[in-house]
Amino acid sequence: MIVFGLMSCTFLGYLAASGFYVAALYDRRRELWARGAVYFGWTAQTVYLFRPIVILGVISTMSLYDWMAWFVWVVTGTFLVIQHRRQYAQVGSFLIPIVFLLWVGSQGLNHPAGTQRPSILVGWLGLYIAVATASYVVFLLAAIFGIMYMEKERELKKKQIRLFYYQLPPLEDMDLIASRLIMVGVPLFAVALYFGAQTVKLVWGSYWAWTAKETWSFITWLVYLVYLGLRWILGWRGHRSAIYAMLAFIVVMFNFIGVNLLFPGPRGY
Amino acid sequence: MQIQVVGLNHQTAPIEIRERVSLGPDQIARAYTEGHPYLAIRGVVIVSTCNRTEVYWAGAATLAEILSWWEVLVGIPRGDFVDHLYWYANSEAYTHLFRVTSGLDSMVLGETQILGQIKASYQLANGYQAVGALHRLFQYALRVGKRAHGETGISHNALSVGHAVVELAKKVFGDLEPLTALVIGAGETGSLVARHLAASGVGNIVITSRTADHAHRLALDVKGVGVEFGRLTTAMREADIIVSSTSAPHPIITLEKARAAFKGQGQRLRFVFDLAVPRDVEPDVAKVGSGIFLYDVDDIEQIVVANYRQRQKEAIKVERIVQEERVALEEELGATEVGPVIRLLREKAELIRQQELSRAMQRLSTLTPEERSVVEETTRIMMNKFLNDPMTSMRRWGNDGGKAVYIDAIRELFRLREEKAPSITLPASGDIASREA
Repeated sequence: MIVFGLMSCTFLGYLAASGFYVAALYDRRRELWARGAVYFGWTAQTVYLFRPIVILGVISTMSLYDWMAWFVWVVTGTFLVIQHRRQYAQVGSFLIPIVFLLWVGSQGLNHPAGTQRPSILVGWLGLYIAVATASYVVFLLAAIFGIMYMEKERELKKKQIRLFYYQLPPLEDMDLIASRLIMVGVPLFAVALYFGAQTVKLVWGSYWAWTAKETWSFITWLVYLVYLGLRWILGWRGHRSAIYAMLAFIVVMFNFIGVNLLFPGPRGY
Repeated sequence: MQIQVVGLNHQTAPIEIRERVSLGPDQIARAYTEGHPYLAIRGVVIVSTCNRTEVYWAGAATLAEILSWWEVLVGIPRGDFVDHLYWYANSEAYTHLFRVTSGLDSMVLGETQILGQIKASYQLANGYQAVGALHRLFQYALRVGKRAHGETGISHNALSVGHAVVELAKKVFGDLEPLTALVIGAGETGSLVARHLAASGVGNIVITSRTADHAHRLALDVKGVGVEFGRLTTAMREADIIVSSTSAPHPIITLEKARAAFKGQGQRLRFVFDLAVPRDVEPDVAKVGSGIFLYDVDDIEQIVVANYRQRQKEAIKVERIVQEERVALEEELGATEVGPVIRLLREKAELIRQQELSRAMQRLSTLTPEERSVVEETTRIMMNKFLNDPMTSMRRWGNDGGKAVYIDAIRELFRLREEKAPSITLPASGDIASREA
């Protein structure tokens, strides 16, 4: 009963926040309501996620769906921290609806419940999960700035200014923020790969086992490395950079959804 | 007490009338120091800008008296301007002033200058101790102005070509300080835009013109650099913002020239403004690179129109603030009018209650403390319930000049005259002249 209540609160909070954040594009005063709704949903989710750890001493991270819930929780938490900075104020209008869909997609689906002792999170695998999650958050934010850049640029190019012209930050700023995020994400993901390799060593005995997960993670990392290379060496900016950041995140999505569904590995996600 | 305003503005009067009846600093000073011997005024503020002249006053003075005062001050018979006047009283006057300070009544919707002008007028009047009963009205009005600009976008988004160029550049580049702007053509438009760019902090401004002399003179003016017209391509290559406004009959920036200038920089963000008619920039220049934005005069005009629509949308929010504050002001002014009467009535009722209660308690000496408190509580509740309706009504009357006489009736009815309360009827004296003396 409590679990259902918490789920409902999370659902309603994130749903309301999505609506209010989109409305905030039209009327900035809605942002206050949106923020309230996010805090509400996120708090409910926090209680939902930490309740089994506190009461039972287990953590529900066995399935991909559970991990998605944690991902949503980290993304939203990160957003709540950075939203106070002016450049990030409008991110919510794009990020929160996506977060809501991710959450509904992962939680609404019927999936087997599984639990684990939290001790598993202490080892290499735990480190891998934590750091990889952090870098995915960074990559998602970069993709969001890519979307925002494209939307505003489209209005400016077509000379039909509407919402985004008025509401979104300057093009150059969004371009810079996206590239800086990826600049942070690439070394972070390299660390995740290192922890991942340590995990693989424990399971297979060698650092590199050519598993689908490992290979795709490496490809993801390369894709972002190439992004930086294109900017630094070929001077890519703005439009192309924004498209690249968006497409690159599709690779990330495939890495943590596609690969896990198509090639089930020892971790389950 | 009545608060009224009479005046004219750019909507009601042509410039020929406005300039004749406007009150200059000397006339305003004279108005405040000499006052008017027959005027029963409890406060006056004169507002005079190039778009409006208005007199706000509180007290019994009639419109005719104010007009005769005005015509003496400016030396023009009122018949010449009376047709162009508007006249509002009380809540309509408050609404009017609030709309003025928030920029809704301005020629350029949402402009902020008027707020400063009203503030200055208020402070000037205050310097002569003339504001009197208008203090709260003007404090509210200044707050409405601040709220309108702070809480809504009424003053955002450019409504002129010069501002729109800067605004568009900011939408693309954000911070203009590290940028280089190239202005081609040092004519009227070129100079205007160059000054706007300099004022909004563009780091480097480069001016070029077929007449090198003009370019150098403008460059000096905006602390920029003049460049020979022959070095246009190089200058284009270095510029982030390019503004062209020459009177040349043929395009200055052709496709080939743009290709040469921007070679290898197709992705660099660059804003090209073509403000010339006929156009200076070939439309295909926009396709040279994905980072190039090319806007001509019509495009910018379109932005201005969209911006204006945006301000109109915000104006609805401002109207809401105006009404909100009007209600608050009316309540406050009403409360100061009826406050003393309400207090007297309540005091009288409380006195009677205390007297009767103590008398009753002496006769009911056998009651337990609980029973005593019940009796006491009952009397208090009876009194409060009985007084509730009259109090509410009286607070409402306070806002309504026409019902001021009811308040007097209440005094008569309940004989609330034993102490000298401040009169709520208009004083016979108290005009500016006597206050000054």
